[in-house]
This record gives sequence, C-alpha cells and structure tokens, in this order.
Amino acid sequence: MDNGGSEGIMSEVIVENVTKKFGNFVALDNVNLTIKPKEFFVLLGPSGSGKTTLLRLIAGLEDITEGSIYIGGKKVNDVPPKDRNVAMVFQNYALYPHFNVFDNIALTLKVRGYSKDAIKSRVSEIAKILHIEDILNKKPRELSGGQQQRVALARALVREPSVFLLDEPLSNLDAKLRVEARSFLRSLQKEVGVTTVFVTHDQSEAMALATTIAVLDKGIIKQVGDPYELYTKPKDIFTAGFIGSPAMNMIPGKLVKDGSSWRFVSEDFSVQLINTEFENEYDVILGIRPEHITLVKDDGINAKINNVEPMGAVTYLDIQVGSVELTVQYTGLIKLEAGMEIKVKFVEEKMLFYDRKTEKLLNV
Amino acid sequence: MNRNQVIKIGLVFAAPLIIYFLIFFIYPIYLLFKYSFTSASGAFSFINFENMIRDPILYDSLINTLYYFIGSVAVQFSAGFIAAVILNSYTGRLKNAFRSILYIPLTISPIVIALMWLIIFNPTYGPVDYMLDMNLNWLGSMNLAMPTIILANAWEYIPFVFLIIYAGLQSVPKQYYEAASIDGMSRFQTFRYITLPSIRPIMIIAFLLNSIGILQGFTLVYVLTNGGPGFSTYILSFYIYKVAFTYFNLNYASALSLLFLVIIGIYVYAILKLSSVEKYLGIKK
Repeated sequence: MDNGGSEGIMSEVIVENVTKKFGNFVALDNVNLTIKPKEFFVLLGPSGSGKTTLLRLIAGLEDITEGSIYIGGKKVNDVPPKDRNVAMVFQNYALYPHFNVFDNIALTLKVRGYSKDAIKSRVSEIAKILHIEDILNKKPRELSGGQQQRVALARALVREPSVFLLDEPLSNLDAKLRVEARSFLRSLQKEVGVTTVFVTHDQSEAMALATTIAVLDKGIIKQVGDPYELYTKPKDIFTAGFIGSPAMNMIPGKLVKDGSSWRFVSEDFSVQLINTEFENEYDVILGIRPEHITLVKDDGINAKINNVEPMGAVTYLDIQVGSVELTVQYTGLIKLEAGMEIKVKFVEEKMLFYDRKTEKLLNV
Repeated sequence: MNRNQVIKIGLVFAAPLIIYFLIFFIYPIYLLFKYSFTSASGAFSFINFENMIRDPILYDSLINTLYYFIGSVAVQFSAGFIAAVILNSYTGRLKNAFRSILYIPLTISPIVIALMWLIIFNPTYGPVDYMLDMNLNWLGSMNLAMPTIILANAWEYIPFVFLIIYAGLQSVPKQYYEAASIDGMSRFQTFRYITLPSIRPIMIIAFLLNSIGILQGFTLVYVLTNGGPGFSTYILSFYIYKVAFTYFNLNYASALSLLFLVIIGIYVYAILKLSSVEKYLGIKK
C-alpha cells in the first residue's frame, strides 16, 4: 500500500530502437513500442519470434544490446529487475517449491521491508481476489495447475507493480481451464488496472485478452494494433496468416486493369473488382477470410467440396478451386457432402491484396 | 506363464546379484555376529562385550574418534561448502580450471595421499618444517599428530563435499533466481531464501556421506602415525584393525566392529530424523 502504490500503476513502457543479440543471433531487431498505462498489451508471435526475449528485456532479466527501455518515464537499461518494480508470471510459474503458498506470496513483501501485519493483510487481500484463501498453507507441488497459476498471479500482484509481465501463463493449463483463466485474467487486469504485457503464441488468446497486440516474427515487429484492426486489416502476409482461425485463405494471382475497372486473375479463375482501385498492375496474393466466401446459386466460381466439418454454430467447408484449396465458413449448419459441386463468391470489400514482392497490403 | 514361473525366471535373472550379495554381505555380517558372541574357547559368550567395559584403549579410541570426527567434519564440510558457493557464483573464465583443480585429490589413491603427507610433515626433510623454519615434529607430537591427520584428511575430502554441493547448486533452476530478482531479493536474501532451501536435501546427503567417509578413515592413521604417539591417534577403525591383525583377536575385533556399526547406525538415523530429509526427498510426506 506504500511503496509506489497508485502512481506506479500508471506506468507507461517505451521500447526504443531495441536490438538484442545472442552472439551473432539477432533475437530482436530495432524494436519500437509504446505500451500505454493500464493497457493490456499482448506480444504475439510464433516460437522463436523474440516475444519472450522482449518481455525479459522489460523485466531486466536480459541485457539490452542496443536501444533503451523506459518504464514510467525512467530509463531502466541499467536498473536491476528488483528496482524496476515489475512483476512477472513465468511460463511454468517458478513458485518456490520449499515455501508454502502464503510464503511464496509474502516473500516479495518481506524482502521489501513490509511489516508483519501489512504482509498479512496484503496477502489475504490478494488471496481473496484470486480465490486461493483455502490453500495458503499448501506447498506448490500439492496444487493443481490452475491453482499454481493463481498463486503465481498473486505473487506478482501482491506488491502493486508498475508493470505486470506474463510469459505464456496459460499454456500449461488444459483447454477448458485456459478459457476460464483467460476471462478471469481479463477482468482481474481491469480490476487492478495495472499496465500488463502478455506474451503468447496463441492468436485467439491474444484476440480475447488484448487492448493492443504487437505481432512479432523473427525479431521484427510486424504490426501493432487493436484486435479489430489486426483481424480486418493485417498489413502483411505474415500477420494475415497468423491471425484468425481457421487461417485466412491465400490465393496467388495478378491484378489486371480491365478497361476502367480491375480484375483479380488467378490460374483457375478471375474476379471482377468493382469498387477497388490500384496504382499499378501487381503480382499479388489475395487474402480472404473463410467467413468472407459465400455460397451462391449461380454466377460464381466453380468449386468442389473436399470436406465438410459441421461445428454447430458454423460449418467449415474445404473446397477445391482449380489447384488451390480454400476454407469456407458457413454460418449455421448446412447439408452438404464431400464431392458435391458448388459455386462460391468472394465478398469484395473484404478482399485483401498483398504485393507478392514486399508482402505488404496494397488496399488503402 | 503362471505366477510361479514368473518368479522362477525372475530369480534366475536376479541370481548373480543375490549370490554376490549373500557371499560378500550377508555371510560376513553373519560371521561378524557369530565371532562377536564367541569366547576364546569357541563357546557362545558375551565376554567380548564385557571386555569392552574394561578396555582403556577402547575409551581412548572412542575419544580420539570423536575428536578426529568433529574436527574433520567441521573443516571438510564448511570448506567444501564455501568453495562450492564461491565457485558457483564466480563466472570468470577460470571457472572450469578451478573446478578441475579441486577435483584432483579425489582421483589420487588414499595411500598415495597418505605417503605424500608423510613426506610433507617429515621432521628431517619435510617442506613444512623447512618453510616455517621450525622443528615441530608434527606427526610425533601428542598435541599435533591428530590435527595433522585432520588436515591431511581434509585435503583429501574437501573436494568430495565440494563436488556434491556444487552439483546441487548447479541444479537449482535458473528460473527461481529470476523470480527472486523480480521479487526484489538481494544477493544475500536470494541465497538465504532460494539457494539454501533448494540445496538443503543435497547438503544433508553430502554431510552424511562425508561423515561416514570420515568415520571409515584408516589409511592416514596407518601410514602417518600408526596410532601414535602413544595411543593419541588411535581411532576406532584403526583400533579394530590392530586387534584383528596385530593381536589376532578376531572375536574381540568383531565385537568392536559391531559396536562401530551400531554407533554409525545411530548417528545416521539421528541425522535423518533431525533434518527430516525424508520429507524433502519425497520419501515421506
């Protein structure tokens, strides 16, 4: 309640031209980010993208090779982790095995010189929020994965950190628990109001939790934006393919000027574009999400159904259009079978065109 | 295959070990008990144990053993522990070199080590006296003989303690230290709250193995002082040897061995109980 309290919680994190090398390997390449106070910021990327490294740089567990990191306006490059007032939840929680839950949570207060009474009240307060009051006397090994996760969260939050760092904290939980923990985490973060940086490789987790997502690949920030923006306007092919499940369909082809309008021409079909304008003719990749391909009776592209996956609320169809296989999401259930011939149409305003050379989005 | 057949086949496979165990462990232990309770005339008797009560050399040996034991454990364990902690936190280039140097005594035969110390402390041409420019007659002095043996013994076994504790320190997951640094612990606090509790079980194991090794010590006394001067460096293991192979009283030597076994047994049991190490090793909840 002392020690930095609410002023700490408002902290902003700025990552400025940060490069991190391990030997000759460049883990992060000139990364720039601004993480606003109270934001739920997700670092999203496949394994090896550098997202955990970036988190560890913010925590102070690794040295920065080049660039600077600021927390709450203060440059922290040379500040040790213990003086950054950051809290971290590790992927496997790293609870101290020889201490019980209470001590695991209390230790950070104890070493910071809190009084016994203050420790007791802080721990019981946070234990209440995280619903772990009844396991305070247990050792970590006696706890389930979900309980361990809550204890790790409690340990991180008990001293009101300026920045709350989470390294794939949900990946050790089973599927059902993960979804529960996700919404719990979201509301917890809102309640506590602490600036949060969350690392994950799971795009649906990122979409569900984040106010802002930064997509990383091979040490480079591909795009930063809110979930809506990332889903509807991914700026490059990597982000387009990474966000969304099932993944966006990618069809190689050409943009060709056809009189006053434009056409997308692939090996197997071509689509007249009515409302879309381009500067030049390009070799492109057309990105179209499964839910933006519709089934039509006539005047569509011929396709053959390879597979039908009825999920209940939606039905996924794998269809063959010439040499490419596409995924179609149909809302509701539909009686179709593999082998049937159908016709489909793309929703034009949802079609995204990527320059095949630069892999960047061409739509404005 | 029915159950009996399975057991029979299992026995065949286990037979080499069982036979080895019977010949080299069970039978000698049986003999130990048998001789312990046999009088000079060959009859069953408690005479060997009655004799212990009236045996002043045994008293001397026990006291010497206690002196030798406490001195050795104190020196070896603390030095080995400190060396391990220092080397574990040292990150310089010479780390591997230091570690290798510390291993060396473990690779040398005890008899060679004993002879080496015999030379080092030799009263006429030993380098210690020469360098100190004194003539202390280390091994021939009532007061200095035992400390000298403790010193030589320490040189031999500090690496043993070091090795085990260093391995324990190395096996503490890095993540605990990271969590500790984020939790705000200083170096000392990290050592106290993370390192020490983490290596506690392995420290107890090291302590026990070290204790047992020390109690079994024999070579140094045999080579350096042969129990002297007087009986001042008679330790129990050496005394048992003397009784058996100098006085050829196998029955009494067996009884003394039995006593020794009981003492070690009680000691080990007490350490395990006091340290509640079973709990840490997951043997018992």
